[in-house]
Amino acid sequence: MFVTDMKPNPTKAWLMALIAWLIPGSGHAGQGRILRGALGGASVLAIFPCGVALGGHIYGLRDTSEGLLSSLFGFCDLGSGILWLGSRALGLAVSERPQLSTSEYGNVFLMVAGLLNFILALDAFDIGVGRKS
Amino acid sequence: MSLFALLVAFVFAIVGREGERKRTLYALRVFLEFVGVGFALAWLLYWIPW
Repeated sequence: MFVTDMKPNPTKAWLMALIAWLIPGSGHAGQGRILRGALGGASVLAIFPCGVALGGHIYGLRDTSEGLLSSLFGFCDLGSGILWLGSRALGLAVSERPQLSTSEYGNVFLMVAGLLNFILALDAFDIGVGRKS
Repeated sequence: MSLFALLVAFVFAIVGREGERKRTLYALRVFLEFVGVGFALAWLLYWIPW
């Protein structure tokens, strides 16, 4: 399933970016960058549950609870890939918990997890097309 | 805050620099900057009364 040769291939690069978005770190691991993939993926996978534990919640793309910013927050959260999909499907951390004083920190953790995974996916794409080693 | 800084520093180092040594130094720098700026802002806001 994973690509191990180093020749630039745009189709495989897109596939790696998609896989990297879906499963944090897998884009690098699938292209032979095991340590980078493991470290990056573990970072995203650690930030996300920290955010949930702090009382953060996932914003929906059509969420309007905080105006237009909610959609932007939803886009940030979307970056977590399978974590975002799983949370939405299971109904985990989808409702606000304002009674927790750390809930805003939790929201930021969740958004940063998503944004970092977007960056990792873009990096995996760059490796796939040969822009980076 | 330190855990957050550490994890973000890992990812920034992975995507921001090439070579193990450069990555390690960059991760350390990003971590220290996050923590340092965090403490600086905390002290700054502590003295601002509003």
